[in-house]
Amino acid sequence: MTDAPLERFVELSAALTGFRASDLWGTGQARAHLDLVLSVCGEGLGARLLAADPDQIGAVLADPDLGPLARNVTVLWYLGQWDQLPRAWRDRHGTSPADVAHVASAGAFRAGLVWPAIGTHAPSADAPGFGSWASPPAAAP
Amino acid sequence: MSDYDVAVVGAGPSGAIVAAELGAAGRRVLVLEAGPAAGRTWAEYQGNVAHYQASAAKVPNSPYVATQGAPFPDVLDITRLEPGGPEGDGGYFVQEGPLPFSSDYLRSAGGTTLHWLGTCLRMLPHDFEMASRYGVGRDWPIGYDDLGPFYERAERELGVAGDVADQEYLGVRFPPGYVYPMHRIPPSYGDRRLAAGLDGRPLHLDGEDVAAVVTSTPQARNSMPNPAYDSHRGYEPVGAVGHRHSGLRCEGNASCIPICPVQAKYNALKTLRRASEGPVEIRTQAVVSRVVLAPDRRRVRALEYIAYDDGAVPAAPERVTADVYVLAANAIENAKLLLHSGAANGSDQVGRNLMDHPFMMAWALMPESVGAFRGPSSTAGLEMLRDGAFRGRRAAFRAEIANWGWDFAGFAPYADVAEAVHGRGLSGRALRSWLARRIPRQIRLGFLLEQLPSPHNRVTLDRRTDGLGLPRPRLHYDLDGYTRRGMAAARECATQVFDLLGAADATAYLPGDPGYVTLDGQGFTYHGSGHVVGTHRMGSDPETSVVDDRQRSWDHENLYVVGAGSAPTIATSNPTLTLAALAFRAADSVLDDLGAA
Repeated sequence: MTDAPLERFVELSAALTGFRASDLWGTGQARAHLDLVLSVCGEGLGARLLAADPDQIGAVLADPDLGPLARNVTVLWYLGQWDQLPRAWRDRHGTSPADVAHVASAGAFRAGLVWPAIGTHAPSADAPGFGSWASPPAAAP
Repeated sequence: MSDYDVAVVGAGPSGAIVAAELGAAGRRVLVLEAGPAAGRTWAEYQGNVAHYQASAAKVPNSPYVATQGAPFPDVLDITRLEPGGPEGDGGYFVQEGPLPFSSDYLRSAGGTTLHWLGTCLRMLPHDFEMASRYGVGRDWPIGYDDLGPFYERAERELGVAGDVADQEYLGVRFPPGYVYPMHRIPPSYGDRRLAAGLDGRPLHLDGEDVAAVVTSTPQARNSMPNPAYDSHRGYEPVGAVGHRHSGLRCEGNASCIPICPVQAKYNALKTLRRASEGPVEIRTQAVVSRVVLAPDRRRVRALEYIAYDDGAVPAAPERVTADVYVLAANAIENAKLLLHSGAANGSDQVGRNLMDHPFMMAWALMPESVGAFRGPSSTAGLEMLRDGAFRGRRAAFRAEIANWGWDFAGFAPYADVAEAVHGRGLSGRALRSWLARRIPRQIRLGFLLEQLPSPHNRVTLDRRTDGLGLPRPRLHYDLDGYTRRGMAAARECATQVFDLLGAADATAYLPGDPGYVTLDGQGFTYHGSGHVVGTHRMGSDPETSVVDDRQRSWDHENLYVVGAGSAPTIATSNPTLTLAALAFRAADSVLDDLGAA
């Protein structure tokens, strides 16, 4: 049985991050990231976010409720860290004990997309081997 | 009869080397380490790696958890101090100002080598002769050639990778046929790009032309062994503590500071392991609280220490005796202990002459990718300005060439992601390509500025105490005109370097920075280098120095005070290799003393 909300989250995340859904699944972080998002925004807003159309990402980002969440989801994938949501958003939706700036987990840090995006690997993880740094960098995708 | 032949305070590089050397000679040694045994097992060490990965601010001490009994300073505690404003009381130090002392260190088995970078430059011959040659600072009681054989022992112990031909500049010399234990760490692609743009091109500084040279950095990081080492006996790289087959080569984890996950970078845990092969006992979470003097004050009679277990009431102080005592607890901790004990201070120099390398960064965007964020933090530097006639009027400096973009300067790549997502509103392919186009082009220079010894830059004891009721260090710290003129020259150097490279300068020094200073209306920001130097300087005169040239106290014949605190001047080299060489020299002297006893 497929986990439809998780699949929708990954499809949306792919549109937000510019990485393929298969890349995101491959990080092993999809479930943990979705759980973190839902723990902050709750089921109601979470359902709205997951119902958003990945092909209309501009509209999602422009939405006063969903936009800040979508930007945080993007940072979460790229850095493995959660940024506290803007004050205006918290004033509208209330605060959550999970909504504090923090690194989601050591694994989330290691799986951050910023590293492959810039042609490298997370510091302290996935070492490329002796002398690799002397080679020309891989061309940007 | 004493409990031990030698009692050593501190299990960082100096203490570990002294203990290992004495243990190898069959001497019974006790090492008392204030901090925990963090990382002496592989599982514990990997726990530190994970702790770093999950830390929000990946500062040098982020992998390591302070104990209540041995708190340590953290760079996150540093705040801007205002004239007439409150002193800095946010962390372990009490900062009196006028400027914040901006370095940290680590109280733990292994000491600050757990998070050091590993740079192993030797001092220059002229560095030992600052007063007689340039009329500033102090002369050392020993010269480069006195230290040469001890540098060689230090380079073996730390496992230095380097190329002798690259290091023979500004008077640095090696015996014929000498090679480092391992071939140099390969310079990064970025180093080679910078060398292509800079080597041989003139920089105009102090009214003179100096040819730029990008020089590979000797470093305590496992590389390819040089078969010619040690008269062709070769060298075997030393692997991780608790996992000997890990770390036999640098794997490019790109996290040297704050933690090398495989221990390809030397840390003093490796020397502690060697020490443990002899009759050496290492007791952690044992804070020495007092050096107890004999009634005639000519000798140390005992050490008093407090064993603690976090969460429990600290035990009453215990006493231990030895024939010789060696304080190797870090420059600030050594000074704190001596001041608290009223020991070794006939010269009134204990705690004075506190120095660091004010660390001033400059950063820019190259026209094309240099492949930033790959490899060790730095594999090359600009070393040609470490000495010159200018040293009569302004500080010399070296510049490390960073391999990790605008890391410490601009919190890259975290701040870049935040700017792209929150600031520029980018998403999807546009976001990914903006990051890919920008971050790999980031370059950064880190200037390490020389600082002159001053009696006013000093450690004293504050009335506020730590978790064991021991006084916290109180620091008075400032940068004089000599160093600030060096900063101005370094800034000018960076401008010319970036021009030669066609790089867009992005350096910004902000008046709100904790380390913001000015000179003639121009502002600069310094950080700490983690190079805590000068609080118990060596000399040839008991009236003006704390220890002699073997780091033995002038006041107490069976007390040694070792480490970077013994350095009369800081020069421009990162201090660990020199303090390691001095530790070997002190160990020889202790053995002589014991043999004569």
